[in-house]
Amino acid sequence: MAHKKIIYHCYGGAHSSVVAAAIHLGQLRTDTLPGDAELMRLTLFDRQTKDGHGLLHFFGFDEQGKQVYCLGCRNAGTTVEQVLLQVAEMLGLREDLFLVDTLQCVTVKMRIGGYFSRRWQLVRLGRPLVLAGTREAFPALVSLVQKVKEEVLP
Amino acid sequence: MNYLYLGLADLYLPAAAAGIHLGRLDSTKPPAAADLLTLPHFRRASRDEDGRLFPVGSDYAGNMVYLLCVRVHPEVVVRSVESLLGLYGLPLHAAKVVPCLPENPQAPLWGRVLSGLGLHGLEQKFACLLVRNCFGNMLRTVAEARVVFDSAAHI
Repeated sequence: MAHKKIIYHCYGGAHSSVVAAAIHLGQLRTDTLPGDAELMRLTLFDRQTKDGHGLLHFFGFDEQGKQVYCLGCRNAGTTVEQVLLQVAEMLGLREDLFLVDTLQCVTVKMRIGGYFSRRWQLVRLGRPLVLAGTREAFPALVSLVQKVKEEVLP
Repeated sequence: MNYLYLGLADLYLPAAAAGIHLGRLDSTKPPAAADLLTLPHFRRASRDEDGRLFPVGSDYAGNMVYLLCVRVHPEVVVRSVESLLGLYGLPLHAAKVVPCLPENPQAPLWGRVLSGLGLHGLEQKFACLLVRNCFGNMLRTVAEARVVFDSAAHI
């Protein structure tokens, strides 16, 4: 039997989806807000480039053996989601695949900081904003992941 | 094996490419407007059809042919489908996305403007002209996709 696959997706695949995947896999504690160092230790956090948009990045297996991925879709998240689900259905794989849009949790600071850091490569200006914004968005991301875990049965 | 012909903001170019693939258009000369207008889904796509697959038939080898259109970032869609296939260890020809994009990315915008002004007849004429201008490239695109992926399927 194929492993179920959970794909967290956002605009750039560099911030909210990465943090959601890390929460899902237990790489970040959910009872406290993560520090800068903890966030920067995450694979791809504020490091994804536009060449990686559209590519699925494997983050690991959760406690139930489900595979967790993240994906950057730019502003075509809904479209990409729809295409992937239809292609999966065409190939008989629909039951295995779950896509979760994490953009709903993104704060203004994350958007602005992410734009500076990733789009314009102004990392020293954008990264502190992204880190602060991620901490603001953290509770929403935690509840989104909890909801996903409840919905996606093993 | 499945072919997905991908258009930007409308289904004109993918519908024509699928027509070439399925032998519904004569590939020896640019198609007449009447031939194009009889192709299934040769039209503008509405906003809620963004990312939806339209099956249009199967070719002589039994491969399914679909149309697909997106409003933005077709390259991200192509990469994500290829990445998904890789995830399941499937070959690329399991769902081959073939982009059918106009050379000038502003062309669909003109179609949208004409459509927005209610000039649907003019928009269709514009679309037929676009297809006829791109016909050589489309023949090459379809032929390349079929040669590579039909032969890959037989290996």
